[in-house]
Amino acid sequence: MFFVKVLEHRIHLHPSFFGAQASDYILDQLYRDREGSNTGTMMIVAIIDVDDISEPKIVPGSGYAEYDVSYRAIVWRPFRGEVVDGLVSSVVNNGFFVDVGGLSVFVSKAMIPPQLKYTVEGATPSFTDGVDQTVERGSQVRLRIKGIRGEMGQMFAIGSIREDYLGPLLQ
Amino acid sequence: MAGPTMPQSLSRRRPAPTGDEEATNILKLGDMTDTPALSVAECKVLLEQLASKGGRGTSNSDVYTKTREYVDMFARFKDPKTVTQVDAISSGLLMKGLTHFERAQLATLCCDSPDEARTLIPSLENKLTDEELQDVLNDISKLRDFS
Repeated sequence: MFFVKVLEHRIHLHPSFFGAQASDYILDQLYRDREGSNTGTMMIVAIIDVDDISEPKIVPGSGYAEYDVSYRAIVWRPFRGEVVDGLVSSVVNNGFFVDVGGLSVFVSKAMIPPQLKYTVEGATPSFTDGVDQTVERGSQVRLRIKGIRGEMGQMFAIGSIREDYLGPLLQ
Repeated sequence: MAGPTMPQSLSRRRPAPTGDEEATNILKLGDMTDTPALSVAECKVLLEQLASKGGRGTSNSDVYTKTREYVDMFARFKDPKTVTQVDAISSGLLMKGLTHFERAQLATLCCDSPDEARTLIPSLENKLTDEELQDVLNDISKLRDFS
């Protein structure tokens, strides 16, 4: 789920940058550090604008100036139990991987309705019931996120399509 | 190493433990509670506006590129004016006790029936009557872009 969140970041500026363009350097540093980062629970997609840059405080002993920057950003955060749409990136015999933005969700065989069976046609593996529902690479699927694990810089998730109204979307 | 333990009040207060957030029948959104949420179409419009403003609008990071592709593919409403209309319709629901999360989910998932909406968004149970929900879903479907 996308949110617009106010976040804070602490930036250290080297004394060689003290001057008229200090605020530009700070913004550059902010964008470089935070935009596109993955904190393990959420992803910062884009910074919208900066609310406030605090007064600088010199760090004793090192000469760097410390700024607290408050900014608004679009963040993406998945929740356990949330229903999302995604694109299937690969199919293996135990299940398939779905890309939901920057997160890769694994749907295992236990979380797939029994009608969808693993079949390999030519070189393309897929889960299909032979009639109208097929899940293969490039299909759009609606799934429910069942569990999320986050580490610094990466998120892993598992999902399920074994409920009403979930599964491959009609293109 | 044994020793006297520090009383709670003298140690630095830790941030609240995370890990129990969920969006099932009850919404426990942690520090995202009360944060304005965006549906996929709204996010697409916002990202396009930021990119066209120039300056530092875009980035080359993996997360950004994948997100742009994702919202382009899954946005149900392509036109910014339509997105504003959908926002107006679904914002009326905030007065009726829906949270930001539920409002954005309704605008993203575009359900056909109240039953589907209640199944996909379990916390919606008992917040709206079938009639009110069907009205909102009809209004949103009328604006959907089938191109």
